[in-house]
Amino acid sequence: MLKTLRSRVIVSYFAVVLVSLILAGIVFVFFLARYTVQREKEEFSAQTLAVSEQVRRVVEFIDRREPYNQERPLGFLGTDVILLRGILIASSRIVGAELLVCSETGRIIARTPRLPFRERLSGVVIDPEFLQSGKVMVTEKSLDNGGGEYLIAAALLEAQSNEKYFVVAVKPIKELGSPLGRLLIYLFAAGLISTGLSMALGIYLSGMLSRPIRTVARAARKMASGDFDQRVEVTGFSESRELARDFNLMAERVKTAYERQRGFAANVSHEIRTPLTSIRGFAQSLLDGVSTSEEEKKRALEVIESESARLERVLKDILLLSQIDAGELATNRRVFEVSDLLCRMEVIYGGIAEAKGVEMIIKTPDPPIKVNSDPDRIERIIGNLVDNAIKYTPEGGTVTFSATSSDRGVCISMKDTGPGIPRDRMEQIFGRFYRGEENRDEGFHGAGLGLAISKELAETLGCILTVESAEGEGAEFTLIIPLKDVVVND
Amino acid sequence: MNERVLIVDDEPNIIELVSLYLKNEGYEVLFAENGEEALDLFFANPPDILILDIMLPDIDGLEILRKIRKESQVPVIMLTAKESEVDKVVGLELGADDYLTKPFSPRELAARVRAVLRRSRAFEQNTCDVIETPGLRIDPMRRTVEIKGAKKGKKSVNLTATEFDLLYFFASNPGIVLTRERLLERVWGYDWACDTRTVDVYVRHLREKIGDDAQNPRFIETVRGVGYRFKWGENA
Repeated sequence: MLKTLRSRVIVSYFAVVLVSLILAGIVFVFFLARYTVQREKEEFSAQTLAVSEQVRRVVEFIDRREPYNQERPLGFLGTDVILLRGILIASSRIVGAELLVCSETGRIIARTPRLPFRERLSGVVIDPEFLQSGKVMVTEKSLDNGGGEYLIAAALLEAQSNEKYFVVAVKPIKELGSPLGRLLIYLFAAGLISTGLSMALGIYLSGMLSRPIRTVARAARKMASGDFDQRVEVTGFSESRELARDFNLMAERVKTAYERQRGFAANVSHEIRTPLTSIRGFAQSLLDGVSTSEEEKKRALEVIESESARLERVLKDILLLSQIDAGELATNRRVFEVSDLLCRMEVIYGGIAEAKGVEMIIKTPDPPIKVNSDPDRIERIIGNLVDNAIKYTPEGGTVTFSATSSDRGVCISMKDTGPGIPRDRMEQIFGRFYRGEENRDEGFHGAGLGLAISKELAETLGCILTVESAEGEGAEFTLIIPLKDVVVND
Repeated sequence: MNERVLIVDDEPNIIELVSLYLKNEGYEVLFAENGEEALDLFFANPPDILILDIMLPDIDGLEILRKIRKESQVPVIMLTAKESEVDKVVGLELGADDYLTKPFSPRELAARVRAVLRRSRAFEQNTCDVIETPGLRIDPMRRTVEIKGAKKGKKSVNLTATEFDLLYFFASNPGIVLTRERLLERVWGYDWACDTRTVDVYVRHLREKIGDDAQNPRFIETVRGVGYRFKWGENA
């Protein structure tokens, strides 16, 4: 039951509300009970005082009618006692207690019928000194007759007599705080209602809390099943917004990576299928006897050979890229002279440039620059660039190849006078399998991996490869070997 | 006069290979290495059949087909190096008559050229009757198909040439299980064993266009492991 976040939140919310309600209830009832009893005791004594005042008036009335004398030492006799009792009975209904009038010695003169005392007010000590006019003495007393505890209030009856008389009210203690019972019912009802409300609130709040998680979970599940277009609405409290934003970011990245991967795979298959078609087709033509003449046979074999070589190149490039991707590319750093590299480029590409009618200008640095890097990788990077530069430069154009020192490091740049790179393609050219249109037109056999390899190799070596170009004005690629790799001659 | 084939591919080797085979079969071969050239050549010397690679340096092969389809119903065989492009080739309104994925056998391409040409010739000569089933009205003269829905009334559907031929052949043989091989032979005109996936691809697109559900078919039923069967509107 407590497996879902939702149920946990509901239950914990409910538990918190319940515990705090019970605690608050106990404290409240405790103080309320004390307060109520206190109030009732005060009221009880006030009422007792009021009754004693009532009785005093009656006694005064009796005194006036029949003045006090020797024959009537106790003040109350005969019909007077009956009158007194009538008053006590009437008052007891109002006060809610049994009443009596007694003498200083505890002898009961008049009482209400249900009073738990018979003849004497036994065991109750009344302090006449304390009981001045207007004061009430309240004591709690346990009676032997099994009636339980009683609250007893005594007030001095101020009458003109020798003896002192008291009006005493007696009330069982258990009758105290009786309104508390009803209050407790209310309290309980309120507790039930608030618990119910808290449940509803808990369900709502837990829904609110768990909704973003469930939404993200649902989206993640769909993503897991291959739907990478899942996006979550950024809404709700800040953590859920954060979660949604991060999820969307992740989904975007995953989608891009997936599409790149898929695009890469599709391109790889294209780059492999094309030469394979030629190889298989020309081989078949030999088998089918479609290529009959010696010349045709030779041509078929040539195509098979060159396309196999192309296939091999594509595979090597892909392998290199996958090594870079996996971070497994081994680099072999050593100190070498930049001008040596430039010279080697001239040796390798000079012939190709000449054959195409492109002038190749090499500007070696003076004084010579030494760097600590991987010369084979650098050669690969620059080789691709020179190869491209020659390919894109039309007949009669020039390719300028130079190395200079700058405050950023050693800049090796290749500038051509080709058609340049359109502004909107500047980012794409370093992408895998990108090929310029002219490139393909000329039956260029590359897979469009050259610049991608150059760029990624440069990054692996900590170098920077940049391009500057304007359409129609040629392109200039610059490889910057960082200052830290430059060896200073001393 | 020899039939003229126009090959459009940016790979000179592939052009060379295909023309080697087609010339050997006695076709006149024209070729173009990019889209511009292909369109110029197409309208200057209208070929009897076009072999078109999708991936071209300037204009997309599909775009070239779209332009050509506005003017001509010439049969077209598309070449593609990406499996993912097959659906595009087959599914578009302009509809190629057939496709081959690289690497393909030039022998097979030559055979397909032969078959597609034979089919288009046969179509020109054929006069077929209108087929009317409870659910469909297929008019081979106008090359139109109308779907008769229960509530919506008639709805005409645009089918490519191959899709139409496929549907017409299905409707001509109601209730009979047609194997993929037989469909290839009768609709595509291939009398040799080749990749029968082609049939499935075209059937899928045909179903899509006539609003048929493979799970609960109204017209074309899949007979597992064998082929397909046309239902004469029992449930229509």
